Amino acid sequence: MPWKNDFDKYLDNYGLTERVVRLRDAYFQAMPEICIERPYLITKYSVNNNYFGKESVSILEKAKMYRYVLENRSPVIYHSHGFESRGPGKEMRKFAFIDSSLFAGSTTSKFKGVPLFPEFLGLTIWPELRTISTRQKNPYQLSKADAEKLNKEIFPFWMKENIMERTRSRCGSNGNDPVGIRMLQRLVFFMASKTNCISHTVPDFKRVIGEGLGSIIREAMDKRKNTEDFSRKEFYSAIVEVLKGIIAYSNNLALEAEKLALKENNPIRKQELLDIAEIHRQVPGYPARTFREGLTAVWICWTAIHLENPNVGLSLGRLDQVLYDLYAKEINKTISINDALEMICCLWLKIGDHVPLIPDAGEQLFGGTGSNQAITIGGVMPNSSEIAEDAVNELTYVMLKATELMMLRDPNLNARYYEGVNEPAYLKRLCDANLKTKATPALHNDNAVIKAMMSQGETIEQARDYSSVGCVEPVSSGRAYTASSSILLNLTSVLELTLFNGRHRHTGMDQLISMDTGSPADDPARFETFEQFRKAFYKQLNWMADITTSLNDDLGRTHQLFYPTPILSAFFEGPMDKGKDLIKGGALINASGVTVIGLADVADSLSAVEQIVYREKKATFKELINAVNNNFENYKVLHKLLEGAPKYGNEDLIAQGNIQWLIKSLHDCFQAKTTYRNGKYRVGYWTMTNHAGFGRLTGALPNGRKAHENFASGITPVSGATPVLTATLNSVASIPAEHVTNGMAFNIKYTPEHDRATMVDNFTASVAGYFDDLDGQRDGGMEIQFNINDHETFVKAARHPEKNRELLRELLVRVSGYTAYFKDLNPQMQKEIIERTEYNLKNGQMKSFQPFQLPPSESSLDLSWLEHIPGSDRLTDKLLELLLRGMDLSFWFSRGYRRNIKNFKGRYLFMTKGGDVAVSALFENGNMSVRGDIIPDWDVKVTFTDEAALLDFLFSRDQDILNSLLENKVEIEGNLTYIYRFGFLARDLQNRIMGRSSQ
Amino acid sequence: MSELPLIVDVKRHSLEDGPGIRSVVFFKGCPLCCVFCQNPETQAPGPEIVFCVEECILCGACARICPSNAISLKSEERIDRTRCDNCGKCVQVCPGKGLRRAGASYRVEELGELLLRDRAFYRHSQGGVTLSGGECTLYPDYLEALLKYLKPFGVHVVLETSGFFSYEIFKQKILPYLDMIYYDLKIADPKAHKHFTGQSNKRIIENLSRLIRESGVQVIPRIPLIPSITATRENLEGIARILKKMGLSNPVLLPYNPMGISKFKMIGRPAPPIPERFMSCGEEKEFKRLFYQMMPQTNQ
Repeated sequence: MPWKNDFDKYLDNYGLTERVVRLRDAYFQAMPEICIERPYLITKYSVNNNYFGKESVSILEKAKMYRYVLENRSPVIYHSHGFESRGPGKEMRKFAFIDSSLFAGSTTSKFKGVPLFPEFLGLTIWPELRTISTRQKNPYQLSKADAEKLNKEIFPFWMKENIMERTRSRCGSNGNDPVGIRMLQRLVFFMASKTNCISHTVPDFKRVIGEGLGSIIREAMDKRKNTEDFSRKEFYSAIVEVLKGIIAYSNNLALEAEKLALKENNPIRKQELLDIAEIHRQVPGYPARTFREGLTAVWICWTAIHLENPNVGLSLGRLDQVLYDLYAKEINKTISINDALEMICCLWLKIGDHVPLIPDAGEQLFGGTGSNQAITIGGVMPNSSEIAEDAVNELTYVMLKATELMMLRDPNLNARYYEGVNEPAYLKRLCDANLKTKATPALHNDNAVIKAMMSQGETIEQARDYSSVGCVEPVSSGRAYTASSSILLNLTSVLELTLFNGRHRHTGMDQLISMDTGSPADDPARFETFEQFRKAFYKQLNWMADITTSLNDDLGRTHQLFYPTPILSAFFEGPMDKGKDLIKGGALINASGVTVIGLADVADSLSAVEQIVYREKKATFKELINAVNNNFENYKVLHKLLEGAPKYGNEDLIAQGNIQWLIKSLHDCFQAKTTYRNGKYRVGYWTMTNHAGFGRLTGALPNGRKAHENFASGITPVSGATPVLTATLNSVASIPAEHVTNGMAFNIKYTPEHDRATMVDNFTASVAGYFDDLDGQRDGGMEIQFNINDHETFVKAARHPEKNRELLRELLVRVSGYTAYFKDLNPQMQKEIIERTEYNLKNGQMKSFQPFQLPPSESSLDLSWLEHIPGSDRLTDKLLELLLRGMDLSFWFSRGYRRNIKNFKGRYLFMTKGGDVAVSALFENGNMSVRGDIIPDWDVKVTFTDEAALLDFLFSRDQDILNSLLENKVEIEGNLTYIYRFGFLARDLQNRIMGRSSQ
Repeated sequence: MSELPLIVDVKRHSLEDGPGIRSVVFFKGCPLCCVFCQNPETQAPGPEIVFCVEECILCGACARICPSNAISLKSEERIDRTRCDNCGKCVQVCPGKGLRRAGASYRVEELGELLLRDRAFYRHSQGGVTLSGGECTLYPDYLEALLKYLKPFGVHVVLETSGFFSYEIFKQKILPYLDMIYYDLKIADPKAHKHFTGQSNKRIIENLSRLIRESGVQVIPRIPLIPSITATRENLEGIARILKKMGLSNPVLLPYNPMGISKFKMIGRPAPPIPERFMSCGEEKEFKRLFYQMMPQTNQ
C-alpha cells in the first residue's frame, strides 16, 4: 500500500471551503420538509396498474414501479431554498441560499426532506396533517396543498395496504388480532422495526464503483437466460428493471445539468454544471474513473435504495476502503487533499439530506433521531492472513477530518481499532477527534468484535470486513443481512412479568399477559431461593422471545408478500447468485437482530432482589412489591437498602454474576430461534433514545429506580451507580463478546479539561486499557462512545434554550448509538444525557451533582371548542356524542369538510369497557350516520374507560396519547389506520370550529 | 504473617500519585500524627467508625442496635466516641452510607487481585500501584508478600512514605521491589517537626540520606504546603538546604488541600488548627517561586 508514515494525521492546515461553509449554514438553518413526490408517484402507479387489493405484489411488479419512480422523479441539481423556523408553534419561513454542491440529486425533492412511506408508518401522521408544520417539537414543513393531496389522493388508498394492517388481517386468529400486535400497541413491551422498514444493513458498493451497474445488468440478463426457474427469472428481470431505472435517474440529472448550463452565464458555474453532467453520463452505469465519480456512484445508488424503504440505520460501510484505490490514483496528481476533503464534506451533507418521519406521539420514543447512517473507517484488511493487516490509510484520516470539520448528526462515524496492528498513534488521533467534536467517532475494538462475529459462523475474512450498521451493530459488509433492529425489547417488562406473575402493572393487573405462567407455583412470593426467582425470569424471557420473534416472522413474511426489495438486493453479495430477494434469504449471511433496553436496571434489580430479599433477608418479597408499587413512598429505609445493593459496573461479584447471566440468557433464548429467512437472532445492547422513552412508561423497579425515570443507556451501567471509571470499564470489558453479537453502545461522559494534550493521553490510555483482553483472560470491551461536555453546559442549554441558541444550534451529543443535536431531543432524553455519569479523567472519579428536574409538562388538551357545537347545552356530559354530532352537522353544512370523506367507507364502534355506552359511526357514500348501538363487522373498535380519556386520546398532543394507551384507558382493535383518519376528521372539525369562533 | 494490616481505601485511576494511571493503597496506622493530616482516618491502626451526616436518613437502626448506647439521633455527631468501642454493629444495620467502617483487612492475594484488575490501564499509561497511608512501611512483612505477588505481572510500584521507618527492615523487605519513592519532607526544624507531627525529623532525614546514597531507586522528595506551618520562608529555606546537601534536585511542592478537615469531624475528632480555605493561586505561586529559586538546578 502506498502509505506514507510522514502523512499528517491531524491535517491541521485544512479547513472548510467557502462552498461547504455556505451549504453547511443552509443545512443548519433548514427545517425538514415532508416530500410527497414518492408517495404520490407510487400511489398513482399502483392505482393505474391495479396493485391495490392484490394477494401479493411480486418483485418484478415492485421493480417496475420503482423504475417508474426513478424515471419520473424530479432530477434536482441544485436546491434553491429551504424553510427556517420562526420559533416554536409558528409557521415556517422560506429562505433562499446558493447551492453549489459537488453532488447532484437528493433523497427527496427537498433540500432537507422527510421521506414518506404510506405503505409503512406514513399514515400515522394523518391526524397531524394540518398541524405538523407548527407542532412544538421537531416540526416538518408541509404545504396546505400537499397536506390536502395526502389526505385525499394518497392516504385513503393505503388504509388496507399498509404493513401493520396487512400483518394484522393476515395473521390474526379467531377474530382476534395477533398477540404480538396487541402487545405492540401496548407500547411498554417491545417495538418491531419491520413495521417501518427493513433497512438496518450495509450494501456493497464495490461492484458499482469498479464495474458499473451495466455490468450487473449484463450478469442478471445472462443469469435469467440460463435458468428455467420462474421465480429466479423474475428476480433477475427485477434487477434489470431497477438498475436501468437508476441509470435513467442519473441520465436525467445529466440532462438537467446540461439544460441549466445552457442558461448559465457565470462561466465557473457553467463549467461545474457541465462537470456534473459528464460525471452522471459515466456513473453509475459505467465504472468510476475518478474519486469524485466513485463518490457520485455511491451517492446515486444510495438515493435509489431509499426509495424502497425508509432509511433507518441503513449504513454505508467501509468507505475508506471501498474508495481508496480511486483516491490513491488521483491524490497529489489530479486532486489535492483539499479537493478530496471538500468532496467528502459535500457528500456528508448530501447523506444527511433527509430525516425520518416521526409522528408527534413517537417523539417520546425517537425524538431527535437522524437516519443513523453509519460510516466505518479503519481496522484491518478483509483477508485471512495469519497476522491481520493494517487497513488504515490516508483516506481514513481525510474522512475523520471531514467529520471533525462538519460536526453533523448524519453520517454517524464509527472507527475500528485493532490493537497491535493499527498504530497507537491512530488510536490517539481518534481520541483527539472525540475531544474536538465532543461526540464522535464511536470506537470499536476489532479483536472483540471479530471474535463475536466468528462465533456466529462467519469466516475470518468475512468477520474482518465488518462495519457498523445504524448505531453500533457489526455486520460483514455487503454480504450479511442481519436486520439488526428487528426487535427492540424493553427488558424491564420481562422483569415486571416476573415480579407480578405474568401480569403487567401498567396494562392492567387483571390481565394475564404471559400465558404460560399463571399457576400459583410461579408466584414469586412463594419462592425460597433466588435461583427460583431467576428461573421464573428466564421463563418469562423465553416467552417474550417467542412472542417477539413470531411477530418479526409475521412482519417479515408481509414484507416478502408485498414489499420486495429489488434495489437493495442488487447491492448485496448473495442475491445475484441465489436469484433470490434479500428479504427472502438471498444474502450470503442471514440473521435478525434484537436490541435490549433497560439491561443495567434489570441486572441491578436482580442483584437487589438477590441481596436484600434472599441473601440478607432484610425485606420480604411482599415488602419489596409494596415498595415498588408505592414508588418507595414511605419505604425510605428499604429504598436505601435497595440503592445500596450491588450495582453492575463496580466489579462486584453478585452484580457481575447477574449481568453476565442476563446477557447469556438473552443470547441463549434468542439464538434458539430461527428467523423466517433461516438465520439466527443476534442480541445487542444499544438503545437510541428508547431508554428514556420506555423509562418514562415504566414504574419503579427493585434497583431503587423511581417510576418514570430514565433507564441506563445501551450496555452502560446505571447513571450515578459507578463511582470509579476503571471499574466501570473493566465490568463492560469482561462481558463475553460471543454473547453480544448485535453490538453494544457503551456511553461514557468526560468533563472537558483545559490541558488537552494531557487529556488526550489519559483518554487514549483509558480506551486502550478498556480494549485490552488481558492476554486472553477476557475479550475486552467491544465498543465505547463519548460525550465530552460538562454537566453545567447541558443544564444551561436545557433550562434556557432561548438564551443559548448559538450553543444549541450545533451542540452534538452521542445518544446511545447514534449522534443527535441536543436541541432536537425531547426533555426526558435531555435529562438522561444531563444525568449520565460524568467522570473526571484527572482522577477517574465520578462527578456528583443533583438530579435534573424536568419542567412540568403542560397539557395541551382544550375541549372548550366543543361548546360551539349546536345542542352542546343538552349534551355537556356526553362528549363523544357531541363530537360525532358536530362531525355530522359539518358534513351537512360544509362542502369542504364533506370532501374529506368522499368515497370513504368505514365502520367505527366506540364503547366503554362495561358496555354501558356504545356509539357507532358509519361512513358511506360521502355521508356519515351515527347509531346508538353496537354494529357488527366494524373496521375498528375503540374501547375506553371514560369519554374524557377517549377525547384526550383523539385531541391532545404527544404524551397524552401515550398515557391514554398506557393507562389502559383506550384500547383499539382492528385496523388502526381508521383511527388515524378519524383523528384527522376530528381535528379538522376542531380547526373549523375554532377558526369560525375566533373570527 | 500474624495480623493483617487495615486498609482504609484503594483509590483507583489516580493520576496524582506517580506516573500514569495508578491504584493507590492507603494503609491504616502512622507513627506520626500531623495536625494537618489529610487523611486522619489513616492515623490510628485500629478500625474506626465514620459518620457522614449528608447520607443519614435518620432511620434510627444504629441507635437501636448499639450495645454501648453510644448513638443518639439528637446529637449532630450521632456517636458519643467516649462510649463507642468501634464494634461496627451500627455499620451493619445502616441501610445507606451514613455509617462506614474505616479499615478493612485484605489477604495478600485479595489485595493483589484487586490491584491487578487495572493492569490493562497501567500497561497503556505506564502506570502502576502506589503504596501509601498512613505509613505503609509499618507493615514490612505484608508489603513484602504483596510486592512478591505483584512483581511477576510487571507492575510498576511507587511507595509514599513519611520516612519514619527502620531502615534495615525496609531495605531488606520492601526496597528491592520499588521503582520509585515519594518521600515526604515536612518541616526542617526538628523541634517544630516534633511539635506538629509528634516525632522528630532526625530519623527521617537520615533515612533519606541513606536512600540517596545506597539504593539507586528514584526518590522524589515532596513538601506539603501548609499555611504558616510548612509554608514559611524559613522552613522552605531549611528544606532546600537539606536537599541541596544531599544533592537532590527534583523536589515537588504539594499544594495545600483543606479537604481533610471534614474527615476529622467524621471520625469524631476536633477540627485541626489549619485554615479551611485553599491557598490562593498567587500565594501558591509565590511559595513555588521562592522555593525553586533556592533550588536552582531543579527540573520543575
